[in-house]
Amino acid sequence: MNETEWAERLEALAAREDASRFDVRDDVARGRARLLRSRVGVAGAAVLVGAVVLGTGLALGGGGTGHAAPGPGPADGGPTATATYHEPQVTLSPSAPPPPTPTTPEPDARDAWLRTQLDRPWSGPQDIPFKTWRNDLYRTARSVLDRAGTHLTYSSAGLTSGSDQHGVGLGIKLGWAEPGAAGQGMVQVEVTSEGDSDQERCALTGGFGCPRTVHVGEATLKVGNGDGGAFIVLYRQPDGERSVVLVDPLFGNNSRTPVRAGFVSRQDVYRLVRDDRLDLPQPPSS
Amino acid sequence: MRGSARDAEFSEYVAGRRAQLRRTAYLLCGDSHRAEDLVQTTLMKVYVAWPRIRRDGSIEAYARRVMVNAHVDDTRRPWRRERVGVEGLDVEARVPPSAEDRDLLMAALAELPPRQRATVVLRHYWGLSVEETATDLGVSTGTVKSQTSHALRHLEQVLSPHYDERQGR
Repeated sequence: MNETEWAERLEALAAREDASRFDVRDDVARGRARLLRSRVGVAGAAVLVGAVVLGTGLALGGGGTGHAAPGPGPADGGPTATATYHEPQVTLSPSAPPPPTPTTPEPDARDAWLRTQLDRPWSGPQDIPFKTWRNDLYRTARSVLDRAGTHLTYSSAGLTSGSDQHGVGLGIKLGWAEPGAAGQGMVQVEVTSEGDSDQERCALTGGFGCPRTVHVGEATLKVGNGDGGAFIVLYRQPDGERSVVLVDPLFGNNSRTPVRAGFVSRQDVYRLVRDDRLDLPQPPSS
Repeated sequence: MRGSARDAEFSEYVAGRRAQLRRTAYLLCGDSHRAEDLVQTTLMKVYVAWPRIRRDGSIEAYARRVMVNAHVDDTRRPWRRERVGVEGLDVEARVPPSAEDRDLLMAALAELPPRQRATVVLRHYWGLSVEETATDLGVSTGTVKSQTSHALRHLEQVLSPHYDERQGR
């Protein structure tokens, strides 16, 4: 096959990807958010450096006289304590969400077992781990969203997974069909013990954030809306794990035709995301 | 650079180039959802770097480089990995005769190591020269040549039996 033929084949393959559905404003908004984060990060680093310089100056000043500095104000032990530190010009919006508090959980047996299962080589669908858990998760979703059992399918039989130094995330993608109608929607259900922020988790799962807070009873949910009727709901469980449900009228992996927006009610999704059956798999011995 | 000017220029760039970036991402990773993630990641970084890369006239090269690196990084981490049990549930049927060809090609591409796959996409989808591809990937021209050669040989080996059978050879 010559170069032209390869180019033609790649062109034909790429052309089946529907790249026409996008909103430039979304990309601009994501870019702005990223830029803001990078600037805040730089500003934060400047504050940290300034604090170190100030602290060093204070320590040196105090050490030189043999006395500790009396308080948080400038020490009078030498010019370096007061002359080298300048307050950075940083303005942080008071409405900005607080940064996530990183927690480093103790590595436990379940986490290690989950990682071992995920790292095992696989050659086909029969090797995808956590089959029982995936089927249970499907049944849970169906019991809340589709009690008649006429819409939700797990024919993809797949697994989404992720991990970081804090934990592991697992999930499934379910198809939603309207009997007699073309197209397929998607309901993705995830449970994760990973350490990213709620906004990062929503962006990773759905491609958009979840800036809105919704209170349902005693529970606090994070909710975000995407294009075309897609939405995502995140709930932090009492044990710290988070469950996430993404609803999209178009199951992009499997169909080019969306189902009607609102095919699943938000109230049902709010119930599903809080369902206490949403838990990461347990090792066989426990 | 003022934010409004950056937004306007960036918007124009996205409107004109996003489709090709999305298709490139699809060729790199073979999955629509991951392709969209790759494009979003790429465009966020392009937005942040916009004043510099616009001044240097390197917007396209920067975007390609970010995308390839993001994809290679993605393949090294378990982040966002998806294992699909059954594929092709509702495969587009606009051009039935070539659908099988395209599925086979995508499957063959998926067998390539990420760097080889990127080399093929940059050389034969983007139409970059060996030198341009080497610059994008940060490797020597010799590496690009050998990676391309290995990749195409593998693709030929995988695809040839199918083509031969179809042509009755």
